[in-house]
Amino acid sequence: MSADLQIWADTQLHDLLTGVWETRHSLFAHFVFYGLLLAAVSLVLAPLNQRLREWGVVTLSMLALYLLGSGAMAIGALGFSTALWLAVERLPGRGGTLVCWGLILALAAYPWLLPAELLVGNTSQMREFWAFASNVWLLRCIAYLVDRRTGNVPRRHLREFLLATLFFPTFVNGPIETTEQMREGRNHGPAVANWTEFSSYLRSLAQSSARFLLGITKVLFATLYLGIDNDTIFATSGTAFSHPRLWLWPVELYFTFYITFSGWTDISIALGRVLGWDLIENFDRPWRSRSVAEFWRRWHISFGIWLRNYVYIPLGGNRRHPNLNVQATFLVSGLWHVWGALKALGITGYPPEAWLGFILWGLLNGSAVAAARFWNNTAALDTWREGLRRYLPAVVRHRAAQAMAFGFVALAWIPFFLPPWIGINNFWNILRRMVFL
Amino acid sequence: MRASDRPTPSVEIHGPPAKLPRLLMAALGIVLTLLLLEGIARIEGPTVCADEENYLLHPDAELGWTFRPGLTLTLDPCDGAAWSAPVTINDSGLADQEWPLEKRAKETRVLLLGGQLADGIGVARADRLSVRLAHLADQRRGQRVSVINGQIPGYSMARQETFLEKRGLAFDPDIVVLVLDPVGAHRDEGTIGLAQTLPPAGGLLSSSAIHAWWTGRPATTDQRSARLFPPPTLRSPEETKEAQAQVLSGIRRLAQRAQEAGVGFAILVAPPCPETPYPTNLCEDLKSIAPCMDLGGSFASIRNASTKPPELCIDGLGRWGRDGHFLASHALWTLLEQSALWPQGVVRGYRL
Repeated sequence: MSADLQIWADTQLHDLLTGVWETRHSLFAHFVFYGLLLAAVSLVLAPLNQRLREWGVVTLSMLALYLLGSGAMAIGALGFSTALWLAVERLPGRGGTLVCWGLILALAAYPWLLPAELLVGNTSQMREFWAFASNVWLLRCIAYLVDRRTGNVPRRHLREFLLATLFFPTFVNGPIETTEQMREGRNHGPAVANWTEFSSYLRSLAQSSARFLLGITKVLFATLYLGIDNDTIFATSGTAFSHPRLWLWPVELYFTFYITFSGWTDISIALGRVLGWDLIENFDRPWRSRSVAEFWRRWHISFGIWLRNYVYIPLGGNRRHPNLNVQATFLVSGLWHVWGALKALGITGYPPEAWLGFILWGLLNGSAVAAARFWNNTAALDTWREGLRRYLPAVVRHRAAQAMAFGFVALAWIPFFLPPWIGINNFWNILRRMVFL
Repeated sequence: MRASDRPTPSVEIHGPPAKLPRLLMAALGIVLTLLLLEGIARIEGPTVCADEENYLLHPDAELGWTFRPGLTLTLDPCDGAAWSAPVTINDSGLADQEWPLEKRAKETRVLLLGGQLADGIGVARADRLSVRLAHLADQRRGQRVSVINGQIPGYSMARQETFLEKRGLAFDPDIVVLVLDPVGAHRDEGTIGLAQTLPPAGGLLSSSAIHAWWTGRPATTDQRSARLFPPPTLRSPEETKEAQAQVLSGIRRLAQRAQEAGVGFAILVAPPCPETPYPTNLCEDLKSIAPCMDLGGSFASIRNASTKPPELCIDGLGRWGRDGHFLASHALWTLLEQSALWPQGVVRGYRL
């Protein structure tokens, strides 16, 4: 090995070890440590019957809230979920529905109503955890409320509701499963009935361990090696970098997010399987999407399903003014992210002008879906579509569609990742710089 | 909710269970839990109350004391205040990662000297002055900057000089920065060795981190600690003058030693915690010795401009909070830049 290569390898190894060392007290590391620990404790519950085991998992989820957040957070979440379940199940009629939505609104408004320190304390890690966790929690609560009030699902026991809303493996980054989806995904887990199931569960443990390790590797890789230039590009509107580097940057953003997010999901799904729940997959090779609409069926799938079932369809879905419904759905998605950031940074650190990043990202995606709908459904464009079909081979059309969808989604991630202290103008400036203006 | 939303089919729950496989599973769970607990306890360390700080320091034959080498714990105020922070001490007794003595290619090293104000105990590692300063460098476009945190509570100028001589220069720094506590800088000695109030674990649990975690005391068999006592009160203007002269000559010697070793030297005057008035013209006196910056003005302006109290100090700990470290990192980079102490090739990034 030449001396230069040796130096390079030493430097890389040193950076890697330092990076891992620095990461060990992060929210991610704590989620991994305590997630593993609590999953191991759940094996001890194997001799119990299903009902007691589920109560046990609820208790472990409370413990996760305490370990990753605080005691107040655990008690608050348990109290709120119980109160909401009681309101949904015990308060009938319009008045009851109003109370339920009042509770949901109170949860949504609490960053303005209560001092941040009350629930989440003072450390950035606790704030970060709570910001993620309560975002997931809110959607699960709304899903149960809507499902019950529309009569779509039968009443579920408080235990099942608590389990679904506070399930610790998915409490940070999803998948966002509803109470019904959790029920459907339930299996015997470690509560094996015979030796065949015992050995099959051990095999599943091995597979889960592999997926868990894959998740850790993905998150560490993305944290240590990707997105390092983001701050500089945002702060200089890209002027500190060459054009080719700047063109590659949205692609890097796309994959940084994908690798990190899917890594978290791998860990959640692996932990869920150890506990005895098959969780839905959250990603399905999104880069293969041939339209932005398809992308949203392949990216953060559980959130897409939630938006479809609880925002898009109730607004009228495809039946009336679908384009408006699409925009409204993506706007809700943007505001949901705004709510998460507000809890982490507070209104001072994340003032209303900073919200534009997420909102613009939502509107861009909504517009792209509406544009694709227009292209596909407008009779006046039949000749154009037919022409393309006739003169371009299918493979070229598909690859071109994939490239366009990928490029658009990648560019739309720029406002999504815009730091709150950088104005939205920088997004336009970066785009201008990309096209040599 | 639609069943078709779920791509994977659910698994049927089986009927009456056999006991043995489940009991074996529970036994496996217990073993795994204990193993994981031990591992996590070793990484996290026990939670120790801030007022039991005597765990942190350890007698050292050459220097008097350092942080306790190899210590890992989580420091907690234990009084309901909402902060807690991991503390990891390296084998050299510094509150930092392990640093190889040999410098890597294209690496610029800064050594921070000082007392407890900015040693980073009480804040997350990523928020510390040493880490923030290193992260301000744009490593993609310029050289790597490593900042070695050589700040140890209670060190007088004489001790810092000894530290620089015996340990600091061995790291081959390019720049030495003195983080000067304008109130406590005359502190000298004021420490004794004493036994820990609680004995270490014995028997089977003697090397178990779970035991340390559970009982809330570091897993160490070394019973000696170094304890700091408040510096002697300066009772008269003469004593104050004498202490100031002592500090000044100490700084001069430090700067001289750094110069002899071919190392840049700078001074950062650090507002004390809790807030205490101090002479505001310190840098005027020190500028003749080395480039100097007083952070007092920045602290005051942040305090006045913030709608909610900034985290400049950690209550009851006598150390800076996150905002203090943040301000200091940017100020220090600027000081080193303005005084041309950064070697060529070190570029400031846009770390926000």
